[in-house]
Parts: sequence; C-alpha cells; structure tokens
Amino acid sequence: MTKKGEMEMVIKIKNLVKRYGDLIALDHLNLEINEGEIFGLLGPDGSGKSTAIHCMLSLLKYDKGSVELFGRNMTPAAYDIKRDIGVVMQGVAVFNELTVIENIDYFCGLYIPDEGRRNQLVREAVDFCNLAEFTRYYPKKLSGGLLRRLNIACGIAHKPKLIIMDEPTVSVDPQTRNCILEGVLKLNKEGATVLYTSHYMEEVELICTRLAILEKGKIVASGTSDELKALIGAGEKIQIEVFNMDSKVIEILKENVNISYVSYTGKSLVIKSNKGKHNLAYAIEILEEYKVPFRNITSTQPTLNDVFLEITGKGLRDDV
Amino acid sequence: MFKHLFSYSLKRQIRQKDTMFWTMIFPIILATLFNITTGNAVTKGAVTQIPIALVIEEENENFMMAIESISMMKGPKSSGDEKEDEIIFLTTLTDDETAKEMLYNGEIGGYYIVSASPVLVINESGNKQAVMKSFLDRYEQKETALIDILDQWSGEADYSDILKEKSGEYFIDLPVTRNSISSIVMYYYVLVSMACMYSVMPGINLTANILPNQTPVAARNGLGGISKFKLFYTGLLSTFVVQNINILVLLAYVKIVLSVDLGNEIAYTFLICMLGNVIGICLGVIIGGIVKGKKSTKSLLGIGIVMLGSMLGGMINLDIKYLIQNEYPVIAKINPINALIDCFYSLYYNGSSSKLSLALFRLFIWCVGMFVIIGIMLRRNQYEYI
Repeated sequence: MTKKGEMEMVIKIKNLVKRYGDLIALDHLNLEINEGEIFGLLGPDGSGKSTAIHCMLSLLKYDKGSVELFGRNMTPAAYDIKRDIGVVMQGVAVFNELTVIENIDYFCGLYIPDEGRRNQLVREAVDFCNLAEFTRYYPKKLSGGLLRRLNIACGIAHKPKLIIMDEPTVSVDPQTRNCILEGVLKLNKEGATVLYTSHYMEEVELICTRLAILEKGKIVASGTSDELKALIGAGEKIQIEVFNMDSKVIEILKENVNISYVSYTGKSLVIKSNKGKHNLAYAIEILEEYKVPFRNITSTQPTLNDVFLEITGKGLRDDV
Repeated sequence: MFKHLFSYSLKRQIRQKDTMFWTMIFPIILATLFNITTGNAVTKGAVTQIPIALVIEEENENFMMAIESISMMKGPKSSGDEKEDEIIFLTTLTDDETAKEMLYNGEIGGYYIVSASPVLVINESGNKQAVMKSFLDRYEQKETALIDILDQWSGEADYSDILKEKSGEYFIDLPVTRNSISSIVMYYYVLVSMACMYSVMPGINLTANILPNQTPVAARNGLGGISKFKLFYTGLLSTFVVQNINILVLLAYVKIVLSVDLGNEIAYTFLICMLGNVIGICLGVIIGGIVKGKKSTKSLLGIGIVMLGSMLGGMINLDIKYLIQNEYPVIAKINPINALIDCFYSLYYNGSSSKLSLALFRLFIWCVGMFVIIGIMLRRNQYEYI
C-alpha cells in the first residue's frame, strides 16, 4: 500500500521481452510510470511502442518479464484492473453500424453497468470531445478528425485512472491535434495518469512530464525533456548575419565560458552554447560594443530529434 | 449488462446491410426467381390432379406399380388420411393414336409410353408437364432401389409400410410416397437450408468483434471489463434471434406469398431451421477465427462454402445430391447443408418419424462439434500477433 501523499506506481514493467520469430520487438524493456504523470513513449515507426502497449494490456503474449498495473499483476482475465484503464488505439476502433452516441454508450457500458451513471458519463465524453453536434451521425459520415475524437471519447468515457493513447494524432489536421493535446492535459488535470505514444516529438515535448525514447525495443534514454537534452550536451544555437567583423570580436566571444563554439564564414556568425540563459544577449552586447553591423538573428534550442539523432545516429522521423 | 450487450449486438446485426442481404433478401430473391421459373408448379391447390395416359408398348411392371401407387391415392380418402390435397395422376390406359389425340385436344397433360425405359410425351411445358417429367426422372434415379422393394411386395402388404421399412436402407426419397411434386418442393427446402447457412456471415462478424487479434474494435472489446465468453454468447444469441426472424420471413414469404406447400409440420420445419442457423453461425465463427486475412476474404470464403454446399446438396439439380450421397458419402456427411436437407426430406416424406429424429440428432451432433471447436478457440486469451 502507498502511504498518503506518496505517489502510487501505476505501471511497472520489468525486463519485458517479446519476439516475433527472430525479430526482437521488445528487448528487456523496463518502465515505471507514476500516478498523475503524462508519460511519453517516443520512438520511430517499428520501434516497439504499440507492441509494448499490447503486451502491457495482456493482448499479446510475451516471452519474458512482468507487467504490473496499479501494483497488481496484469493478466488477460484481470477485469478489475481493466476497468480502470482506458485505451485509445492507433486505429479507429468503433462500430460503423452504431451512431456516435451509441458507440460511446456501448464502450462505456463495458465498464459501467449502471445506466444512469453511464448516461451522465456519455454526455460528459461527448462534450469533452466536442461531438455534441454529431451524436446521431454514423462513423462513416464523420471526417478523419471527428473519427479520432470519437475514438478518444470511446476510450475515456468511463473515466479511467490510466489512459493509454497509442499515437492518437496520426493523420489528423493541426486543429484536431491541438484539440486532442488539450484534451490529454485536461484528462491529466482531472486525475488520470496518461501513457502517450507518438513519433511526433513536438507534441510529446509539449504535454509530457516525463518521456522515454524507444529504439529497437529498448529504452535508450528517459527523463524529462530538459534532462534528455542535457544528456547529449547540446545547447542553444545562435545564428547572426554580420558585416565586416574583426577576428578580435570572435576571440572575445569565445572568452565567455558558456560559449562552446564560434564560427564566422561569409556573413554568417554561428555561436553554440552548452549552458547559460543569456548567451544571445551577451553576443548582441559584444557586437554593439565593437560596432559590428548585424541583422537577422535566430536562436534555436535543441529538439528531441537532436537527442534522438545523437543517441541513435538517425532521425526520429524520416521527414525530419 | 446482458441487456446492454444484447441490445447493441441486435442493433448492429439489423443495420449490417451486407449481412441482411445475404441472409434475408438474397434467399427471397432466389425463391421468387425459382417460383417464376417453375411456373408455380407447387402452388398449393393449383394443381391437384393431372390427367395422363399410358400407352403400353412393352411390359414394365415396376413402372406400372409406381404409376399405380400415385393413382391409388385418388378417389375417396380414408378417414385417417389428412394429406388429401396430394397431386395424383388420373390415368387412362389407351393406345398411341388415342393418346396423341387426347394430348392435342388438351384432355391430358401428357402420356407415358411404357417400355423397359419409359418415355414421356408432351406437347407443351407447364406445371403438369413439369410434375410428369419430375416423376419420370425420380423413377429412373431410384429404379434399382424400387425394384428391390417391389420384389418384396406380395400385393397384400401395405405398400407404404414396405417403403417405410426399407427407407433407411435405400435412402427412400421416392416420389411415390407422399407427394409427386416433391422434387420441386425440395428445391425450396434446399433454398431454406442455404438461407440458414448464410448465418455464416454474421458468424464471421461476431468473431471480428470479439477476438482481439482480428480488428481494432475487437481489441477494444477485449480490453473492456467483460469476458470474451460473455461477449460471445450475447453476440451469438442476438445473431440467432435475427437469423431466426430472417428465416421466418423467408418461410412466410414462400408459404404465403408464393403459396408453396411446405407441408404441415411447421414447428419441425422451424426447429430444423433453428439448428441450421446455429450451425451456420458457428461455421462463420470458426472461419472467422481460423482463417487468416481480411474480413472480406473470410466472407467470400463463407459464401463460397455455403454455395458449394448448397450445390452439392442439390440446389442446382437434385441428382447431384444423390450422386454425391451414393458415390462420395464422405463429402455428403461433411456437408452441413446436406444434413439439413436430409432433415427436411425426412420431415417431408415421413413426418415426425424416427428417421427425422435421427436426422435431427445428426444436426445436433454438428452443433455440439462446432461448439467444442469454438470453445477451444475462445479459450485462447493472448495472441502472438495483433
């Protein structure tokens, strides 16, 4: 039992191994997620995110390891555990023969037998996913974004303690994506622990309190976004278009302990720093002091893709 | 919980247009087309007596006895005979010239030239001629068996008793027992059997909704707080209800709208249909669970199996059923449609007899066997692949 004030561990996976023939889909996966977290599982396609979820939910057989949810061993017949879990699958999992409201009611009914309570929860889910105008529609009449919202409504209507979202924003427009991300934050505020998988690093970075990077079935790094960036030692990158700069100025810039790298080629001055918060201000101050004309300043922070690139030697997404 | 699962399952069934087409609309269309092509030959009361003539060219005692057995049914009925509206031949024994004249005058529907191989002479095609042709066909098919039976008939014993006694030995579906239009009615029974077996479609859908390795929706169902068995039996029950309603609609359509006489044993007919529906649904569940691939592939396979089974059971030509039964008994035994048709045959020819009980028992065994396979299939809780 957890003491009052102490966070309960919602998911605990130890040494999980899953093989598909010769292919190792999960390679001694270890994962611990605490109550109240939004935990991001980040990885490219085929890295094992969905397999990890399916094993976690006892849908897939695994070769080795253990899965504990809410401190109890997860098995296919652990219905009491399943009642506290809501799953939003990667594929839209709704019945085409049922309307929006019927779909939500049906799936909610798998967890909530009481009709009165269920009706209330269904109404809340409809409002939560902004589906009030479409309750009498059949899924085939809905757009891709609305279908995704329906998919989410079906997964969360019963107010689960743990919500597992497997790439819920795949193939949706930016508005729907924002709507989904806001929804995840709202659910978390209402008390749900969220496991969120995605290969979109921006959204994971935006909503997750902690994350892990999965590559070839292994967790190659985990922590907060800042911790991961710090892990690779990459910091801010400043680019300034300058005119007629003296090499003396470059030397002065290099004297700052936070600045690790300075280069000046053509009209482009590039400054890289590992730490410190005011490096851009410092660079501008020096340029003004030595009357170096400049314009077009850009400052970029390292992304999770940089982290992924650094750790695995390849990009998180092909298009990045 | 049961009410929740059952009512939604029922809604889904009713709204599945493709399934409703195959299980209700398609058999009705087929029945209508069949009725048009057979020219209402089995319309109740439309044909009760067929005047025919016999021209004896050569002695054929067996054929004459077969004709006589039909003709024996005409005239005043005994008090215990409730099947008074049987079709019978009103036979006139005459010579070739007179027969021709009677035929051209429309006094008879046709005439048989009796010889070692009897020949039917007709000058038009219609209900009466179809019945006469059917009688001759069936006679030829079963001649060998008939000879054996008739050899034992001393003339004193009740002919129908001998037939009953030998029925198991020779698969007696002889046209001379109860109804001379039997072969046409039998096509309707094959059609009803086929309609029952189209339950294979909702069976496949049922699997697609409850086995987590099949579809995302099944995976979501599997993650609910309800066991797969509960989902299965509520789904099975709702499918069973819908399919039985479909069959009732079909039977009502055939009996009332098409006025086909399907016999008086409606309760037994429906019982056979119910068992047929169970077998159809279970077959669909097994196909859905065992066969890899898309749902559409499974549906095609299911429809293919039902169509092939129906064809081998006599859907296109009843002779095929006898051929398979005699030449390839194993195929006949593993064809569930054949088992269903045999039940209808037994019911139609023998009423609620011991032969029907045996045929029903065979259907029951089919059901039990399929439930065992499904039970094993559903026991599996986790999957290698999703």
